[in-house]
Order: sequence, then C-alpha cells, then structure tokens
Amino acid sequence: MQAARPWPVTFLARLRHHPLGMLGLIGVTIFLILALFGHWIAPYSPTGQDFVIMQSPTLSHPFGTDTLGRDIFSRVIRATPIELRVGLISVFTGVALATVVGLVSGYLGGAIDGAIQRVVDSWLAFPPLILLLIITSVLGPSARTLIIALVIGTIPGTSRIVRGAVLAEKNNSYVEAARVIGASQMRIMVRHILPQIVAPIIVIISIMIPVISLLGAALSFLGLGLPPPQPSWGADVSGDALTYFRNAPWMAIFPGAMLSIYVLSFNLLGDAMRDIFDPRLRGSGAMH
Amino acid sequence: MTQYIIRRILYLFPVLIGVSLITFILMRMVPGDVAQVALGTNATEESLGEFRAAYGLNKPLFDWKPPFGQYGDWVGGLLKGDFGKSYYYRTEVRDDLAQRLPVTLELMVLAIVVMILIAIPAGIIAGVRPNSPVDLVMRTAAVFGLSIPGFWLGTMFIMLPAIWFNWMAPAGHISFFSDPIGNLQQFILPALALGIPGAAGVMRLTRSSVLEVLRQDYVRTAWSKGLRERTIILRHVLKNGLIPIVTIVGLQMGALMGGALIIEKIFSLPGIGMFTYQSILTRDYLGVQAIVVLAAVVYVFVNLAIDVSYAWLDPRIRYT
Repeated sequence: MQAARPWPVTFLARLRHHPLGMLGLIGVTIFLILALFGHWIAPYSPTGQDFVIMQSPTLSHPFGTDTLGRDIFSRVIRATPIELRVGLISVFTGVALATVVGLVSGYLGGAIDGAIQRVVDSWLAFPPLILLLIITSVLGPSARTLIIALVIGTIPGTSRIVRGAVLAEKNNSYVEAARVIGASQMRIMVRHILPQIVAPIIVIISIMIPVISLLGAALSFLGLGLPPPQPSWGADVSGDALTYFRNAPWMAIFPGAMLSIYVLSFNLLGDAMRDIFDPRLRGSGAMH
Repeated sequence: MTQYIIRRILYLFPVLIGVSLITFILMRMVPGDVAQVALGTNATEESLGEFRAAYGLNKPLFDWKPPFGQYGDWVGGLLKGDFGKSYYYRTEVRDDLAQRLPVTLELMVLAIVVMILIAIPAGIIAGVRPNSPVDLVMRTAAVFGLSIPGFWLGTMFIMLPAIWFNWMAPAGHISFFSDPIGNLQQFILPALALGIPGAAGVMRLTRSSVLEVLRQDYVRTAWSKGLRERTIILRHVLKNGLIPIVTIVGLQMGALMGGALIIEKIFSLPGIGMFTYQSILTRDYLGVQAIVVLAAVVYVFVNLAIDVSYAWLDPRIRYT
C-alpha cells in the first residue's frame, strides 16, 4: 500500500539518497529558470548582429560570435524555451495518445488488438529518423511540424510498453470483480486499470524526454526541424558552424555542449525516477 | 517452432503493405513538383508533360483497374525486382542502392563492433561488482554516453583532430578492397561516433543482465563447486546474460540506420543514409520508397531472428 502522501513529496524525500538524481533535478531546474528568465540573463538579442563576425570567446562574448556576428552565448540561452516546449509537449502528447492506444488494444484484445498491433508493427518497421524526415518535409520546417513529427515518433514504441503493462494487469481478480458487478469496459479501463499502470507511464515519460529531445535536435541539425533564425541547439551545430569549424570551432562546440548538458540533466533525473517508481526496471537502460 | 516462424513471416505482408502505402502517400504529399525539381525552373510546360508521361507520373495514384495506378506500377515493379528510376539522376534506383549499400553496411558493422567491444566488457565489470567505484565510474560514463547527441559527437570527431593535429580523413570514398588502410582511416571515426551512444545503452543492459543472472541458483551452485570466478562469469553468467543483449543490439538496427544517415552526412560518406536524405530533399520518391521497404523487410527478419535466437540461447523458452 502506498503512503498517503502525494507522490511528489515521497519522490523528493527519496531523491535525497540519489546524489546523481539530485544533480539532474538541479540541472532541470536551471534549464527551467533559463527558459522563463533567459531574456533577462542573455546579454544580447539571439538574432541581433554585431560587426565582429566569428569572434573567438571574450569577456563581452563568452562563447564567441557566429558568421553573422550573433552572440552565441545569448543564442544558446534563448534556445532553451523552444527546446523545452517542443520536447515536453511532444512527449506528454505522444505518451497520452500511446496510453489510449495501448489501453484499448491490450484490454479489448481479440480482433481489435490484432488490427491495432499490425498498424503498430508497420509503424515500428520504419527507420524512425527517416519517417520523421519525410513527415517534416511534407509539413515544412516549423516548431509545430517538429512537435507533430516527434509525437508520431513517440506513439508506437510507447503504446507497446503500455499494452504489455495492461496485459499483465487485466487478469487480476480486481478486474474480474469489477466486471462481475457490471462495470462498463470504459470504466474498467479508466478507473481500474489506468491507475495501476501510472508508475510505468511516469518511467516512460522520464525515458522519452531525453530520447525525444535528441531526436528533435537531430532533425533541426538536418535542417528539417526548427527553422532559422530561431536559435536552436541542433540547427546551430550545422550549416556555417560545420563549414567554418577551422576558423570558429566555438560555433559548433557550445550549442552541442548545451544540448548534452540538457539531455544529461533529464537522464540523471529520469534514472532516479526509474529507481524510485519502478524498481523492476532498475538499470535497464533507456531505449535508444 | 516451424509453425511459429511461418506465422511470423506471414506478418511480413500486412507490415509491408502498411509501410509501402504510408511511404507512398506521404512522399506524394511533400510539396513541390517532381518534374519541376528534376528539370529545373526553366523547363517548358511541354517538356514537363513529356517527363511526367515517361515516368508514369500523369497516371492516377490509385486505380481499381489493372495496372492499379502509380502505386500498382511501383509494387508490380518491386515484385519483379525493379525499383524504378530516379527522377533526378535518371539512374536505376537498384544500381544506386547496390553502389551505396557497402558503405552503410561497413559503417553499421563497425559501429556494432565498437558497441560490443566497449559495452560488454564494461557491463560485465560493472555488474560483477555492483556499487563498487568501478561500477559507479562505468554507470556515470554510460549516462554521459546516452546524453551526447550523435551529430555533435561526429562533428567533434571531424573538428578536433583537424584543429589539434591538422589531420583529416582522406577525401572521396575509398573501397576496403583497393586500400584497406585508407578505408579504415575514413571509417574509424564515423564508426566511433555511431557506436559510442549505442554502447551506453548496451552497457547498461549488460550490467543489469549480469546482476540478474548472478542471483540465479545455478550460479550459486557453480560457486559452491569451487569454480574459478573467470569460469563462472564467462561460462555461466555471460551465456545466459546474452539474451537481452541480443535483443537490444537487434532493436538498435532502426536507430542505427537513422544515426548512419546523420554520420554519413557529417563525414560525407556516400552511403544509403546520405542517399535517403538527398532523395527526400529532391522529392525522388522511388529512392525513398525503396529504402523504407527494404528497411522494413530487414526489421521484420531481424526481429524474427531475435525471437528465434531466444530459443537457442535459452532452452526453457518454447514457442506455440
């Protein structure tokens, strides 16, 4: 039986015993602060141009400037809100839709399950990045496109995991008891099974945030994610940064380093969440 | 067992129909006119019409009567082993693929070797001594590995040797058979950039798998018989711990293909990934369609091979 305290309280209490998880939480908090107050922290506008192009890091431009004379430090900070928004919206929407699919497929079973699973099979058989590249080239690069593509990338694998959890749950006697007293299918799914699979769903979210952030950044890097002049940790590593890396290596180094730290923070926090919420999955490693 | 394999192979058909339909429809939704892209903006209306007629682009996409429109033309060709012609380069897609496949295969095989060479020893060392300093170092390294974007790692691998040692891999693709050393010089950094992020996931799985097996009764029996630790780890733990490792290496194929696309683009390797990327940008439908269908076939068979290897690695597993 779970303690009566709400789960965030229990979680924070247990996180004290996870130094790396604590570090992750601090990292995530810093990124949230950068997302909310970045426009006060960044010294320049992310698209404002200076006459000194490809300037090496100095006190006034700590990360240097790019080929258009834009301050890389400011760009790296001001990219935070859009990256965070795209990542979180994609993962939460994708996992929510995947939960509906997995719940219906796993609980109803039979022909419906068979049909849904063949669709999921086809979906999974696509090399993920190629499917997303095609979708983004259909819709044209924008933040909205990126979110749609990432949601589509989240659903199939996640729905499989949810379905597995539902299958393990649905033969329990409490489900049968609910059926005997005449509860509807809908009620059993939403009121009885769903609460039992919350722990694996939280774990999936914690695994998917870093995975989806990396995928989204890869799409931006390939020129089919966030469009310029929007600062983006993925897109800013490509283009001129790759062409002029001998003259201005800082153009490629800092956006990618920022992305790595961001993903690392979520990974550290996610690992701690996995240990706390679902000891069975301990150390199983993120789907990569 | 045979029945199980046959049923799994039959699943290939709905998957292939689904994948081919989705790709076919999506590619035709990409804005821009193929004929215009292929002939350039100066093309006359007349030459555009001729081009469309020559490539069957003036037919309806789907048709109820044979030959079932453009989709029917394409699938009919596939069944005969004809992938169609590239609109942009006017080459046979089959030849394009045959030419580029060795590059991608070499990259992926080397990446998997990198992955296994790093991940399995590291995972065993960490798993055998859980919570020891070595284990903590390995686990921390793994989280870092999972957090570094492949495209950035690849970029650093090109950039840093160039800046520090003024070294760059020889340009232009070199075949392994004509110049093995030059070929490996070209492939070692891309393979590392592709393999290292994957290694992190495989290492974590190896570790937890070793931990799991160490708790089994037969391992305790082996200890009490007085076998050496080396023997126990290699003969008892590793063999049984391999099952989940085989799975994750197999499931990484899709991710590895996406990763290969990025790495090929960064290192200018003329492989399948680069070809896919260019085909998407030039709306060369048939190239993209061919690759997706081939990838789906590989995916289905790799998954089948994984499930069958379960039975071989663990005789307790039975299929019905």
